[in-house]
Amino acid sequence: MTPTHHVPEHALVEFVTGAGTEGAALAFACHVALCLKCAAEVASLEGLAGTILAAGAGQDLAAGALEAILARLDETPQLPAASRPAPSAPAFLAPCKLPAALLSVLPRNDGWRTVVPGMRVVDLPIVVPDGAVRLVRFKGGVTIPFHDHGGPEYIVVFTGALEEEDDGRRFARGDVSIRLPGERHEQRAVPGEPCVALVVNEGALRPLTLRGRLLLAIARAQGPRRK
Amino acid sequence: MEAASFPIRPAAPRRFAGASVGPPVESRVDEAAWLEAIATRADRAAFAQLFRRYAPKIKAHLRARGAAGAAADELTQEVMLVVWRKARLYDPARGSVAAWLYTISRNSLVNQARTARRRPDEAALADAFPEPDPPPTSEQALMAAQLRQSLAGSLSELPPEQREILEGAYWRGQTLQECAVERQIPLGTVKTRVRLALERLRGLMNGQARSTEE
Repeated sequence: MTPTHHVPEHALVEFVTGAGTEGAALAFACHVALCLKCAAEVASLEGLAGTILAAGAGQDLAAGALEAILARLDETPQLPAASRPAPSAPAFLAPCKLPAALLSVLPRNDGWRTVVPGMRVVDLPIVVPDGAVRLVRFKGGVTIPFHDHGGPEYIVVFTGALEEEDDGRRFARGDVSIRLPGERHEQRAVPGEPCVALVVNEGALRPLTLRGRLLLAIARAQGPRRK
Repeated sequence: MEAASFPIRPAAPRRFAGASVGPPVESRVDEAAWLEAIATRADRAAFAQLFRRYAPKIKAHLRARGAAGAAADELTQEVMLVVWRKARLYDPARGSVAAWLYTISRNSLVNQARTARRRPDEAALADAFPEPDPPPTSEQALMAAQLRQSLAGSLSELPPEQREILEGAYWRGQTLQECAVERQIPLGTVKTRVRLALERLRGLMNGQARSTEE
């Protein structure tokens, strides 16, 4: 299935130049891995980056730089082709077919915990002030009550689907949802199969309902597990 | 003011209107051949050629993105050592050598910043992230190849206000918000200029420049 919700072109420019945040970069890398259209777009924007690098006026390096690096080559082993074994997912996540960008940051130890009923998370090692970067497993039918965001939110769905309560827009495998502060919404995991998604919050969630505040209080009491 | 800081040389005469900028075709072939020689034969002479052509450009790029003098030299060496180590991972079907070098330079800068922020036990993960997933289908590789060509259009054909934004973003690593602040224009205007610039580059490729301010 081809995703229907994409990363906007200007955000892909920041993805290619590396100017975006680490959380956004992870989310976009996951989307791009699952989206033919955006992968082609990224390849095209990288081509432009190469053109700009090649056209740039150089600056001389310190004298002896070439000799210095040649002297270091002997102690710099070359990787064989396809050297890196693809990181593998825990068995229960295998059906999600997580992209390599996500697997490479997934903790090897089991760090899953229930934050609120129907929602299990594992923290990914990306530090966001006041926010969180997590792989989340929503039980089918679970709702995330009406809320606002203290910072940008990026969600990429890997399996199952999330649905916006107001307009019914559906985010399924590969789809990316980008929400900015002030964009309030309520989401629901589509009933049936569980939904596994990367959820990047670059700021605190701001629940706007009593139930939401209660759930957030419960979630905070669970606390992120620290090593 | 910004135009003066742009490091790209004045447009060289082109053989055809709308021909691609960047190294001519023969030198792209050279570059891919150098990388293959590095990958398959640990060819130091090929590495030296690549270093002479690109290390000064990489250094200038890293400096434009904030690396100070000696640090820019050291980081350039790091980037070129990654090229030596990972030469086998370069796939000419997926992009030009210059594009690959750009992504390695970018990743080195980004990883450096992230490693400084990360808790020590997690630093080891930093290296794994940049590897992209392999393209799932040959269809994707084909699509990517076509689109890649389409943006190697002539930057010098762009109106200065559009070119400056691409320069700020690609050469200096600015976010679009930073581009907007520096130029004292709204973020929406920056996004529009990016869109128009990319449309125009693609249009030039298709021989139908159709970019107009909306």
